[in-house]
Parts: sequence; C-alpha cells; structure tokens
Amino acid sequence: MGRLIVANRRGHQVLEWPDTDTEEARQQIALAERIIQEARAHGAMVSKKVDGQHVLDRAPFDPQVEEYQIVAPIAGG
Amino acid sequence: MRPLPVASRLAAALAAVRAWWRGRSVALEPGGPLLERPWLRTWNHLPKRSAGADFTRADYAAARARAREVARATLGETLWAQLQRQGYLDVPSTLQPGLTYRLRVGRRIEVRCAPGIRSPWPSPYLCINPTYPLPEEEFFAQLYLYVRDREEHVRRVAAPQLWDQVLGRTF
Repeated sequence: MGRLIVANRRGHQVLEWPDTDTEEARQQIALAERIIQEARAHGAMVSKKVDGQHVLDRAPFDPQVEEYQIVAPIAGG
Repeated sequence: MRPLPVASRLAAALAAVRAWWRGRSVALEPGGPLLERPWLRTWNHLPKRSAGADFTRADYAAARARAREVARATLGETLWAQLQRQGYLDVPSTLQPGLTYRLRVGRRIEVRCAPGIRSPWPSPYLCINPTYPLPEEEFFAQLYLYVRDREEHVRRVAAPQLWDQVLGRTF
C-alpha cells in the first residue's frame, strides 16, 4: 500500500493506492501522480519516505515508494 | 434566435461553473470527501493565525491533532522525542560550518553562530512562512526538511528579523 499525504489546513488528507495490479490501483496511482505534478507546478516540494525517514525529493513519481508528502511552498516574512 | 430567458441563462452558467469545479475537484475515493489542494487558492486575505472564516473551534482542534500525527511521522521517533524534550531542534548548516539553525514550533528560526563565525544576516531571526495556512506542528516538520535538505532555498527566501515572534501563516 502506497500513500500520499497532503498537508493542508485540515491537518492532512491521505490518498492511498493498493499494492495490486487492479483498475482501482491504477486510477489511484494516476491521481497521486497528477496531484504531485500539480503541487510541484505551483511551487510545492515533495518528500518521500526513505529508510523510515522523510527526505525532500525531486525525482519523478514512483508508485513503489511507501509514502509521499506534499510540502508547502515557503516565503519570507 | 431568441435569447434565453434570464433563469435559463443563470442555470446554464451555474451548470458550467459546476462542471468546471467538478473537473478541478479530486475525491480521495469514489464518492468520498474532496481533497483540499491549498496551492490552487490564494490566502493573502486571511488574518494572521487564521485558517479561514469557515473554520470552527472544533475544526482547529481536529486539524492540530492530525497535524501532530503527521509531524511525528515525518520527523521520526528520535527527532520527535528530542523536540518534545528540549522544545527545539538544531540543524547545522551544510553551507557554512559553525552556523546552526534553531527551529521551534510556530516561531521564527533562530540563527546561532559558534565563536568566530559570522552570520550572513544582520539579524538573529529568520521569518519563513508556508504560503497557505497550516497547523504549526505540521509546518515545523516541513521546515525541518527544508532546512536540512534545501538550505540554499531557505537562505534565498528567509526574511531576517531583529526579534522573535510567532509565525503568521500557521495556527
């Protein structure tokens, strides 16, 4: 099971995709990829869990990653 | 061709807006709750420390509780325990040895220099906010990732400040 954590004012919301080759999994994976692309295009960053720890990541979306997170864009002041 | 009556034109416009909104909306599961994608909106109109006029006291409490979970998962147990114990996390600079960023939940970053090290900023605090409202513990974990993994970006956007203060875009 993979998941994408979207941090927002609700705390966060989670999109999950099963680790199976089903139509449902493909749809959820496509959705997660689209959300990540959209967030990056609007200045957000993305972190992924590596060895139990989140690290900021610029690589293309990989559905095998256990957990992604959208990281808010930042501004000074 | 006769123009449509006002009611029909309004209905058509409403249908177009609904179709546009559905195209932009993302449900977490079929028929499930909609995903809020804050990067699609502007938030500059909000007062400081606010998540919006539609947020109730219960919404704030729920958001903070959920934020705490994800901040803990983002940082990992060791860093989380350290944060709870000492009230801050220090991140050493990789660009300037001897300089350390002290991160505290909901507050400006404190820049600390070892003896003989000169800070690149004229003031000891750096103000950095998310561009949309977030619970402060959630943003703390995200800011930790920025400082540790994208220090050059942090240095580019940071606004140096003379004094410490709570952040305006977190709550």
